[in-house]
Amino acid sequence: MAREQFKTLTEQMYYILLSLIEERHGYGIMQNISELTKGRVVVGAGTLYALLSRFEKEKIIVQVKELERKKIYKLTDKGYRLLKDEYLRLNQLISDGKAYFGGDSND
Amino acid sequence: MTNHYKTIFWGFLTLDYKAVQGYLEEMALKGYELVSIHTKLPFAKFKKVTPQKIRFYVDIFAQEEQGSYLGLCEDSGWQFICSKGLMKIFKAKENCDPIPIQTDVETERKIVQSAVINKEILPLIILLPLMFFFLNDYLYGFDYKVLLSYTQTMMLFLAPVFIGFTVLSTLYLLCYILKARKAVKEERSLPVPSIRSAKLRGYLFYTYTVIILITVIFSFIGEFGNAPYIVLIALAPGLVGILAGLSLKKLRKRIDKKQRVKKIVLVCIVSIIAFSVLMVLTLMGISYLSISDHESPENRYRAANSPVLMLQDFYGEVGNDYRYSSFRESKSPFVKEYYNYYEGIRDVGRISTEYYKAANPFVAGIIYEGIVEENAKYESQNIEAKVFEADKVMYFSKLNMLLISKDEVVLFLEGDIDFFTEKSKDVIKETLAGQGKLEE
Repeated sequence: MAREQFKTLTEQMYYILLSLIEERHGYGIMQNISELTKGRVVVGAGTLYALLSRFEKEKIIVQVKELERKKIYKLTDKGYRLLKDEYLRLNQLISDGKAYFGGDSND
Repeated sequence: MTNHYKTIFWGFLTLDYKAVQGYLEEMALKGYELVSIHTKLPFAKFKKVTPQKIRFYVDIFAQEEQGSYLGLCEDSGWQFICSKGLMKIFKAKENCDPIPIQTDVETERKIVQSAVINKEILPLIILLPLMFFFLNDYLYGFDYKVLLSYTQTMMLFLAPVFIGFTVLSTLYLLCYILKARKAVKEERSLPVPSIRSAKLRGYLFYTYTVIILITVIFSFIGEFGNAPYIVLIALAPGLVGILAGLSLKKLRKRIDKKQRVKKIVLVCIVSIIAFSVLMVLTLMGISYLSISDHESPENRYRAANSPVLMLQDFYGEVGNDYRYSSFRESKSPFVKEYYNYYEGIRDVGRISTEYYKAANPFVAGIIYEGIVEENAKYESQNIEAKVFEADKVMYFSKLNMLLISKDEVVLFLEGDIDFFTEKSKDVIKETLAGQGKLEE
């Protein structure tokens, strides 16, 4: 079910999962995504909360502790595999594209 | 101090949450900032401020635990103001330009769909059979008897309001679903209704609610005068429903998740059993109270003081050997007086009277035609109206039934009496003219 539902991840989903390779709370995830993408990708609090709930329900992430009423999450093994698969898929897209664009990403 | 605050009607529907955002920003520019919204009543409190530009955000949130959600919004620069139903209202913190709370249109659509649309569509689907029940009266001609009671008159009046509202609500929801899907497909934000149309929908919704409430309350008060015990019994199942609803609401808040399911199931089972038992008792009670065939001096006393015909009106002294008697009366906005009396006396005969005093001759005409239609299977003949100094007279010879209409009065007689003797005609004419025993 989870594989089907998250067969391809949206950009926001991808970066949320990427941030959760390390333990983080909600706002920490938002900050990390912003830093990682230099502000190109932003995730709103409501969107993040809804996605974290869905990921947790599908056992893609797990809550590890709660500090000062802030829930701290991290990826599960299932989540890690899902993220890795997506990373490989995106790499495949890049390498397929190289046949046409070569190594110049600015063209 | 009070001049610093202003209370304004707040009729926004949940699905119009995006229009609320614009409305609040518009109010802030006019110098009014939202303070709170009444949780139950449609009123919001605003405080007077210097006209300024304030960023607001209205989000839909339907989950029970909202602490970490609100915390996350606060951390990201949004100050929580208040909730109204599923709407959570925020404003941007001072010197802060926070990113919107929803940044993924598909996620937002799913939240709205599961929190609002699915929940609203379900009641509409449940209402559909009820709508056809109401429509039935209009499509296949309504029974004139509905004019006799407050509750049935109310249902007749509410039917077009109810049908219209249900159809409009369903169309609005369907339009929203289609527009939202299209927006997701085209990677646009979800539909933003105009403030004007959102306000109009709010007014419509609350006008509808008030009309329903007032009509129901008045009809119950009116019906209470007709049949108090039946009204009280009929209210009982509703009372169980309200109690069950309140208990479930309390349980949801107080009990921890593990125990909650068990307790909720228990409350549901108890409520269903109590509801079923009460429904059976209600139906039994109504049928028992409706059948007043029990012969009693009370029936005769009430009949003697009403414009109905009794055997003694035709025969004078009739003795006291009653086999049965029954008396019923009611009133409604359309039929100001309705009496139904029948009696049987051993060795004398029997008579049945239905007396209707309608609100006007038009309603009397509906009742007259209704009775004619009801008895269409019996052979009938029109009698010259002047015989009874009436407007219309019809005689069903096989069952010896006489139907007369004069002005706003309709009289329907049946029995083993010759209605055409001079004495009978006089008695009937007096009753029609309202000069019967009541005047004596």
